[in-house]
Parts: sequence; structure tokens; C-alpha cells
Amino acid sequence: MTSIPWISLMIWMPLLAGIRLVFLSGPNHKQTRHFGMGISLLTSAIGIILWLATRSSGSGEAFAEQFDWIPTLGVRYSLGMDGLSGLMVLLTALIMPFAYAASWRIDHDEPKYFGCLLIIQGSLVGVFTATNFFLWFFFYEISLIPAFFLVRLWGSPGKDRSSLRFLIYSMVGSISLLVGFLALAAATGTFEFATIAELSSNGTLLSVIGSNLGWYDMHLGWLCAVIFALIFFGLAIKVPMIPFHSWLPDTYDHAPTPATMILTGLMSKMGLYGLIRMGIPMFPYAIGKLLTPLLIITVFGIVYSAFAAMGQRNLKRMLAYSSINHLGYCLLGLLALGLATNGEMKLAIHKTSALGGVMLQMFAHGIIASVLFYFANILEVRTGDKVMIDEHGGLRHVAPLLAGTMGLAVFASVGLPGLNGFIGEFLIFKGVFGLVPWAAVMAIPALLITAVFLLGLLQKLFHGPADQSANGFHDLSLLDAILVAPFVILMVVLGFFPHLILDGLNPVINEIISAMRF
Amino acid sequence: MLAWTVYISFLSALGCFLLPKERPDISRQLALAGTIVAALVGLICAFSYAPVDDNPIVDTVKLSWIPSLGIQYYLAADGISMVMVVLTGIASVAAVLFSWNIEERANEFFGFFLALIGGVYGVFISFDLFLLFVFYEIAIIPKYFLIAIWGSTRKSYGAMKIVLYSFIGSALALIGIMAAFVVSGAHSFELQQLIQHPYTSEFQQWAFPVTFIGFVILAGMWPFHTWAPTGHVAAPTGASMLLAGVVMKLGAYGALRVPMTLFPMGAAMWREELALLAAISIVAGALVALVQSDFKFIIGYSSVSHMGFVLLGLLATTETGLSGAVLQMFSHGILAGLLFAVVGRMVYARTHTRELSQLDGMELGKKLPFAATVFLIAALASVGLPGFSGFVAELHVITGAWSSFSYTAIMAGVGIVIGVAYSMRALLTVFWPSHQGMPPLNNQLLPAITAQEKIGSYLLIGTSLIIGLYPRLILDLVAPSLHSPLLKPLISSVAGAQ
Repeated sequence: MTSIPWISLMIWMPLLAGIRLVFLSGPNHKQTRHFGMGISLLTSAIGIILWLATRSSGSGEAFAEQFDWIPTLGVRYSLGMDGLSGLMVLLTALIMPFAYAASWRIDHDEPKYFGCLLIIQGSLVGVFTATNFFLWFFFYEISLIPAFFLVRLWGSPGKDRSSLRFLIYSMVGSISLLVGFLALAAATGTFEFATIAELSSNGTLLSVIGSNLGWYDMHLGWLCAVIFALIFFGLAIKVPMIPFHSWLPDTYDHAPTPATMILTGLMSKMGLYGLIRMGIPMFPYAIGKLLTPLLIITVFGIVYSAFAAMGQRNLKRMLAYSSINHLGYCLLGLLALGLATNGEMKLAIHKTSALGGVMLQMFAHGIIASVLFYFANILEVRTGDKVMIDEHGGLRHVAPLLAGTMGLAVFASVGLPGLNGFIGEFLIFKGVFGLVPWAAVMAIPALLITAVFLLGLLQKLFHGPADQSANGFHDLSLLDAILVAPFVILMVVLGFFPHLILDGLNPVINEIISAMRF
Repeated sequence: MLAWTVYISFLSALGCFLLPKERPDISRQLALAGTIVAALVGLICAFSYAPVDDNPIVDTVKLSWIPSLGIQYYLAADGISMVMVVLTGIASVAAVLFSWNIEERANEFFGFFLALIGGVYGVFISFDLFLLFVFYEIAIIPKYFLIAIWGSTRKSYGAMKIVLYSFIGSALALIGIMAAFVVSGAHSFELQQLIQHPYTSEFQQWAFPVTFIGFVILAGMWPFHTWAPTGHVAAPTGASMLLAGVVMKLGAYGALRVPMTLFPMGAAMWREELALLAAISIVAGALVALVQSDFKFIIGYSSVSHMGFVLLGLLATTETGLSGAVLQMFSHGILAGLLFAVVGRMVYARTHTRELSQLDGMELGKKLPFAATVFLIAALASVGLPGFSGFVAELHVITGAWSSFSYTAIMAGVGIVIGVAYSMRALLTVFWPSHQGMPPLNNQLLPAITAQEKIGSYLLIGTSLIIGLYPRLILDLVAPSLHSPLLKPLISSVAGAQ
């Protein structure tokens, strides 16, 4: 045990500072953003250091914190950091200051805006480090409120409808998740992820549910299926999984672009993270039973979202559908883990590959998507809110640096070998191909479509004759370049040396896979 | 020392009545001082509460009063009483702060106000049932005058309705108390004496529902709830805060203290039917709140819904459920007060209308950002935003209800969802209407939010947040009572019956 509760510090420092800023009254204080940026950077610095520490030691046991919080419900305040938590904390640490800097010129209610960002930062760290459901849900809910206000108060026209839709979808998902997990907690008497996963792993979860949660004469298998469905549905809305995605394109479009960077880069990861912590280790049996229908929906979603993205004329909506598409690969990889192994070692190797790929893809998508939305923000700001792709053209002549870096990000998104987007997708496809070949084969066309619309986007924006909007368009400023540089470097470096982050993940991956014996 | 909460309240009430009518400022300050001192006394007692062995009851005063009937003047407290005393203290200080704008006959207003608080304190710390009943009755009278004189919308109707319902309820409760006294033959009204007597199950079968319904009429249980919205809406802000915040708790507290403690077997027989009524309260209250056109009626009906959680927790009769009921009593006491403060004091006292259709055009979100923020926080906290007291309370109740009657837990869940809907509807219509660009109907400047309103809001929000983040402050007080002879038979009779 260290004497300083580093994780708590990383959660509560931005959270409290953010609450202070939100409730700052009086005239707008522009200087508060420096204060907020300081807090955000400090939090990120701690996050990066903790990630380095967990990576080198293989586990973050040293940072674990816990005490009895609500004994009547068996709830503990317990935080911990393993490789996966570390990776997500790192992603938060990278993207939050980036989004913060991208919002620098927000034009009204600065303290409230930056307060919301800080609250999101703190609660995201909480979500990624909580080791029991209660605490996880606590931070999960807190993060939704500032996200709603970011869209509602600083969004573009149409924000009222989209923010309400975002809120309603999120609330419905949360309630479903809460009800499902309460049932699980009522049966097992604990909220701890690890304890429930262990029950599942040694095969007693079903009988525990049967003996403690008998609902009239409901068949045990159905009861488990209902609990699983509630939890899965709650998380699937957040990812989002098609057909529960319809809140997303509107929200991403109407949110202020820096908020979209957070929504897509970080908040969508909460759903996947939840699936890795709760869905996979606790219900491998239920996923296995429902494998075929779930995979059909997922594969359909992947292909559908790629086509939908191709049909968009609005840059932000295109990127939104592209996000759904990329996270669909993660869902594919996760769901394929549910295939019954029957003790075959070979399948375990494929599962390791798929799960590793999912985690890499989560990280890669976070970085790439936030950078792409940052560029969308630049286009929007410098051309006076022109987000239609057709309104631009020939920008390469006036903005070669933008064309170069955005091109790199787009290629990373397409999954060009040598860039970070490739490794995750490759591992996922490799794993899924070994497990459920038909699903992998049917998802492959989506890769081609992704390449078509993303390259088409590049062509339209940067090539061709210089359009009117190109007149007076500035290239990336020095500040922009400095902000984008770390991400571009990461895209290249991780493309060649994925083991830099994969090494830290191996213990978690092996733990999850080896626990899935059935 | 705890008895001083009662004495201070009644003495300050007397002081207020004696003060001149022309000087409202002195009455206010006296009322504020009286409530603060009483609240501090309550807080100190709660923090120094130390039960001895397995007896959770700490005696304060025990004097013989009417020896021929075995009636004692017996004030004492267990952990649950302590929680309610602290709630009364905080809610009363806040209610005085939000009554700062009372000018008309302010001395009498605060006199009645403090008398009501004194009666409420008395109920919470009486362990002689006759004395409890006396305080219970004392609390009815000031309610009538507070509504009939200083109220708004249909005030005489509301005042009369609330008094009639209260009297019917207390008559039923009195029948139960008297029956328990006569049957026991113990020649004492002391709670600890009465629970020694083994009441037969035939007796409990009728005594429990009569007494229970007598008490929960005041807690606003469906279908006996209609006094609550009418009365809350008619009352002046400070009185609405007390009515919803603590007076409704008298009913729930009484139900726990008297019928559930004395007649555990009766509770086991009737709890399923009554739990269903409690769950209907949650859903029906929320549904009706969803279609109201008067801002204050929304909050009035939401109180019915939230009190349904208290009753459901009680009737789950498990440790978790009972803890949740106490948590929810505290939480709702704080948050209902805050909601009524926003509606009555911050909005209605400035705009002189509560119709949603009229408030809609006033752009209150821009004119009164403080009120909008407070309402947002209070609404989110009461529908169960994690971090505030409502969440832990509702979670305890639902967990408890699930293990007893799982379908009531599902109904409660549905109630929460509707709760989100009516809160969002009120919030978005009143403060952030979506049709921007329409010229505001009423463009005059509204008076600024006063310091008293701010302090009161911070007090209530802070309390809810502290309990939400560290509910053990309450849970640790409640735990000894749950394991004591007071409530042990209740919990085990139900566990045995299953």
C-alpha cells in the first residue's frame, strides 16, 4: 500500500475542481480555463505515471484502495488498476487535455464548460478503475450529466432534440444495467467484479442464482438470460451496438466538436470496458448460447454502418458512423470469445488474440477518432461552420500540413499496416477467423467500404480545384501542430511496436481467457 | 439534553407570539435562533449517541404523569429517533430561511411554525405511546393555521382537508394504541413494557392494519393520499417544506414505531397487500405528477411517490428495507424541502404564477440561474443520481423489496423512470424551454435571489450530498435498533414466515 491514494486523487481532484467551476457565479471568468487546464494536465500526468508503473510491474496492486462504504448493501469503495484499467486511464490522460485545448475558444459560460470537462475527466478515471459495480455505476452516471449539458448548452442548432435523446437513451441503458446488476448482486451478495467472475469461472454462478433468486417458477436458464440481456442491453446502448445506435449520429453532429472528441474517444469505451469487466467474464455461457444471433446482428451492424457512413454528406456524421463501424469490430471480437472451447487449447490462442485485438482497437480508435474530430473542428471553425463535405475542396494547396496529418490519421483509421489502427483490427480478425470463420468473412467487406469512403473524403477535401472555402484558409498553427503531434507519433510508433502497450495487457488477457473454462 | 429540542421550540414559539406584530424582523431572528439552537442540540445528541449493550434506547426524561393510567412523561431516543431529530433540525432551519419574506403577521406565523416543530420533535423522542399521541395531535393544530392564514390556492379547503385526514388517521391510531394498552394489562404505555406482552395473532390480525393505516394516512399512502398534494400546494412555502419534509415522516415513523414494533405477526400477515399499496403509491404519484399543469402540484405528487419508497422499505421488513426506509425518510425530508423552496419561494414569490404554460415564456433559466441550478440538483438527487442521498436510499429500498416481493421492486423501478420523466418535463418547461426566439411574455426584472435563500439551498444540498457519499452516518445509527428487541421480532417473524 502506498500512503498516497493516487487513484482517488486522480478522480476527486478534477471532479471537485470541476464542480467548483460549474457553480462559479458572477461574470464569466476567462482566466478560469487556465486553472482548469492546470488541473486537467496534473491529473493526466499522474495517470501517465501510474500507467508506466503498472506496465513495468505487470499489475497495479500497489495502488489499490478500499474501505467499507455502505456495509448494509455490502458495498465497498474499492479502486484498483490492472493493465486494462491502466490503458484506459492512459487514454483518458491523453485525450482530455487535448479536448480541453481544442475548446479554448469557446465563446460563452467558460467556467461551466470547463467545469463539465473536468467532471467528465474525474468520473472517467473512476469508471476505469472501480473494481465493483456500485462504484463503477456511480461514476458512470456522474459522467452522463456534464455530457448532456455540453451538448445542450454549447451545441449547434438541433441540440435540444439530440441532447434529450442522448439523455433518454443513456438513462434507459443505465436503468437496464442497474436492474440487471442488482439482480445479480441480490443472488451473489456482492458487487465485486472479481468475486462474481470467479463464481462464474468455477461454475457455481448458475446454481447461486437458482437458489437465491428463484422468481416464482421461472426456468433458471431464462432467468439468467434475462439478467444477461438487461446488462448487455445497457452496455450495448453505450457502445453503441446497432440497432441501439440512433442517438449517436445526431449527438455527435450537434455536440460542440471537442465534446464529440470525448464522446467518441472515451465515453463510448465505457460500454466496451463494461463488457470486458462484466459481460464476458460473468456470462460466457449466455453469450455462447446466443452467439449466432448476436454475431449476425453485430456483423450486420458493421456492414450497415460502413454503408451509412459512405452515404453521409456531413463530415461529422460520416465520422460518427465510422466510429460505430470501428467499435463494431470490438464487439465482434468480444462476442466471439463466447464460443464454447470444450477444452481445446487452440481456441484459447484465438481468444487471446481476439481479446488483445479488442483492447488495442479501443485504444487506437480513441486516439484516431479524437484526432479526426479535432480536424473536423478546425475545418468547422476556419470556414465558418461548414461541415458539409461538398463545401470544401482543394485544401491541400493552402493547408499542406493539415492535409498530411489528416491523411495519416485517415489511413490509420482505414487500417493501413504500419499504423496503429491496423494491429487491433488484424488481431481481431485473426482471432475471430479462428473461432467463428463465417462472421469474420462476412465482416470483411466493411473494411473495403471503409477504405472507399475515407479515401473519398480525403480526395474531396484536399484534392481537386481549390474551392472558394480554401480562400483565406489557414494551415495548422504551431499550437495545433503541437497538440496533434503526440497523437500522430503514437499512431506511427504503436503501428510498429504494438507490444509497448500489449505487454502490459497480457496478464489481464490471460486471466480473463483462462477463467473462461466451460 | 435531547428534551431541550422540544422545550426550545415551544419557548421560541411562545416568544414569537409575544413579540409585536409590527416587527417581523425580530420574530424571524428569534425563529432562526430557536431552530438553529434546537438543531445543534439534536446534532450533538446524535453524534454522542452511544447505546449500551443491546439496548438502543437512551433515556432522557422519565417522570410519572398520570399514575392512575400508567402514563409517563418519558422522552428517550434510539438511533432512528436520532436520525429524525437531525432531519427535523436541518429542515426547520432551512424552512425558516425560506420564510424570510413573510411580512404579514410574522410573529404569529413563526409562533405556529415553531409550535409545529416542537410537536414534531416530541413525537420523535416519545417512548410512552400516550405521550407520542399527544405530540402527534399537537402538531395538527398549527398546520391548520399556517395553511388557512398564510396559504394560497384554495387555502381554507386545503387546510380543512389536511386536518380532517389527520384526525381520522389519529383516531385509528388511537384505537390501536388503546387496544394494545388494554389487552396487555401491563398498566403502562411505555413501549418497552408493551412489547413484552405476547399479543395473540387473532388480535394482531385486526389491530395491525387499523393502526398502520391510521399512521400512514399522514405519510400519504395511496389511496389515502389526496390531502397531501392539496395541502402542500395550499400551504405557504415554509409550511410546505415542513409538511412534506417532516410531517409526512411522522406518519411513517409512527407506523414503524407503533404497529410494526408491537404487532410483528400482524405485519407478517398484511405486509404483502400493504406493500402493493406502497408500490402503487410510487407509480400512481409519479404518473399523476407527470400530467400536472401547476408547478407546485408536480412536487406535491412527487412527494406521494417518494413517500411510497419509505413505506415499501418498511413493509419489506428486512434489515436492508428498514435501513432504506429511514434513509429515504431523511433524504426526502431534505430534498422535498428544497424542491418546495424553489417552487414556492424562488419562483412563485417572484413570478406570482405556477402555471407551467405561463412560466414557459419567462426564460427563468436566464433570469434566475440559481433557482434553475438548485432545482436541477434537487430533481436529479431525488430521482436517484448517484452521489446524492436519494440513490442510496432508493437502492436499499429496492434491494429490500426485491428479496420480499420482487414485483414491487419492479414497480418501484418503473416509478423511478417516470420520476426522471416528470422532473425533466418540469425542469425543461420552466427553466429551459426549447422554443428560443419567441419573445418572452413577461420581461420585467425579477428580484434577485437573497442571501437567506442561498444559505438554505447550500445547507440542504450539502446535507443530501454528505449522506449520499457517506450513508454510514445514518446507517450506523440505525443498525443497533434493527438488532435490538424492538425490531428483531419484526424482522425474524417475517423471515420465519417465509
